[in-house]
Amino acid sequence: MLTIRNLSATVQDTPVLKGISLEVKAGEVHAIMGPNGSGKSTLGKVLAGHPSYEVTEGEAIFQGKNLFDMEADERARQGLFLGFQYPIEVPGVSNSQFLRMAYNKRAEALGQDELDPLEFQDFIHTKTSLVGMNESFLDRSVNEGFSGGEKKRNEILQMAVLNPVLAILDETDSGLDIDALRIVGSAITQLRRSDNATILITHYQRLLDHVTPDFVHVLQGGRIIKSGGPELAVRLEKEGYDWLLEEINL
Amino acid sequence: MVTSLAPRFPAVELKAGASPIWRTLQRQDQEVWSSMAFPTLKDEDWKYFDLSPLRDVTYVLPSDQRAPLSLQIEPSALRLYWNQGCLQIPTSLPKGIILRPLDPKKRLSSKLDQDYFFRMNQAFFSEVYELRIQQSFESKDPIYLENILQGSDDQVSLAFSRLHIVVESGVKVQIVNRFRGSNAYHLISAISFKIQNEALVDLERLQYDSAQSFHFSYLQAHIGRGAHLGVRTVGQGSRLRRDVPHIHLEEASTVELDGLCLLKDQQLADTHSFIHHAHPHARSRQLHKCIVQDRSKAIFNGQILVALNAQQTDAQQQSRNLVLGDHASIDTKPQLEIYADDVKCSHGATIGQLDPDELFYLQSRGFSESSAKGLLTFAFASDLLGHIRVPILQKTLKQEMIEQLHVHTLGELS
Repeated sequence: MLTIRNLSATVQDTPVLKGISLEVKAGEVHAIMGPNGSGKSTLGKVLAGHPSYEVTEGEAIFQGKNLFDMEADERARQGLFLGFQYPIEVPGVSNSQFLRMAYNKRAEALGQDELDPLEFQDFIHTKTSLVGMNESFLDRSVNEGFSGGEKKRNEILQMAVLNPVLAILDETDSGLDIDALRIVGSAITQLRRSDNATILITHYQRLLDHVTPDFVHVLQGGRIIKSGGPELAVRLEKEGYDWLLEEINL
Repeated sequence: MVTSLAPRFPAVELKAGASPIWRTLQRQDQEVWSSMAFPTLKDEDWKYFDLSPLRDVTYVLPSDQRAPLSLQIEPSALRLYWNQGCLQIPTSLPKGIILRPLDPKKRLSSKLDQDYFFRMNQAFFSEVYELRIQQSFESKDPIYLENILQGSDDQVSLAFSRLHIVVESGVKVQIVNRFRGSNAYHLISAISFKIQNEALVDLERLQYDSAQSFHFSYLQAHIGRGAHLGVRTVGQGSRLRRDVPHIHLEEASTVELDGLCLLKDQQLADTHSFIHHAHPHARSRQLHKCIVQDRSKAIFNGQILVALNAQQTDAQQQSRNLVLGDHASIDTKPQLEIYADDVKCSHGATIGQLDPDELFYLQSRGFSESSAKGLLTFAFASDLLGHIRVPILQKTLKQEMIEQLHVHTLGELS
């Protein structure tokens, strides 16, 4: 589904990704961990097409197409989703209007029928219950006045609506209390299917208690320095990154 | 070098039947105005406002060809029309409304008298009416003041409109002052308010002037004790536009003065506001937003004067500006003069562009770059549009803004 080969990228001429290779197959969940500044969030933004980053080497093939040949919006319509660490607010545009517009753009790309407001109302109902969101949030402006946790839930709601092929969730667990974490974790698990895949970018094991990854990768200095199974995340949670950094130096 | 417009200005005669006092006053105004110098960039008040497009203008008086009136669907308590600046007297008026020639003694004198174009309005306007909204007025629908201008193709029609409004104590009223025009004209409009104690007035000023027009508008409001005035001005037409609101606050009165300018091409819009906190316990809120595209330019000069005895004044002013064109520009200047010592006054001015991270967020949800820009621009203006108190107008304005921004995706918003 996604094949990243030797990906390097810079921001304002500073190298931030230095040769990343990663294979994500349909049905898989990958967790990307690593200390602050290791390049985790950057990887998500580069894959989603943030204009501040320049790809200097390598490629990313997503469903047979080179991601870097597409603008960010085209990648989204092709089924790539980035859940933001800091979602933005869009005053004056209600959440349901926004979701429906985004849904229809994706539907158009898939050759499916667009939904009118009434049809969308029925459709969205099943999705808000998935993320445990009060429907009053649909009438409010996108993320305006939402708490940190509510914004993150809203990201998962968008993911549920857009039904992406590949979702990259950038620190979706940060800012969530224990209950919200459980709900978000369970929503991600329920959205998991054999024909889609998820990349979880996270600092902590705690989200992985709710969503069991197939693979865990550790990013450091813009490179993947270790890959393993779920047990790797458990060990990192217990022992931190020092042992791993020592192991690499040896 | 233009020193005065007077020599190439068509003569305007007072209407037959105007009172002798008005004739005398007008003759005096004409004399004063003729001796005033045409403003230049060297004048502090005109520092950023390039009047050169007016220089080669040939003025004509508007033909009295009737402008076609479009069918209005909004429910209204009263609808008055100014055709080419000339008030069409209605055959009947609703309960609680009086429309009559203004008593010259009630003419407000203010520092606006020093303004070249305001004085020009005074000097050449031929009939001044007073609209009185009495305590017996009880409609919940707005009063519409509709100005219709039909300019000419190769010359500039010159039109003046003027009205004095008295809102009696305790009256609650919504007023919509709308301007529509075509071709080239120069309109100098002046409206003054005497808002008596405890009255509540909402004023929506919607300026749909033509792209070739010049529109200079003056708003004077005297807000009585405990009274409230909320003003929203939305301007989007006009080659040159200047808006000069002057607000005088009595004790414990409040004003909300909002303005939105959406400019493109070579448009130039200038808002020179003056809020006078003359007495204690009054509150003012000013939010001014400008969006400049292409090579357009917006100017904001917001003066707030807090007099020595205006203790417990609460004044806030915000100037927020969005620059979308590489050659567009903004000049903004808050000007607070505070002489009282126990007051709460704040001001802020920002000039910015669309945030790349915000654009990226929308693009990552499938919106093209241009619709993402339009959506964020709409979001920038939306709080101000949300302040408009007449729901049908709020909806229309939002829809028009969407069309202006060429964001067809947003067509689904309404």
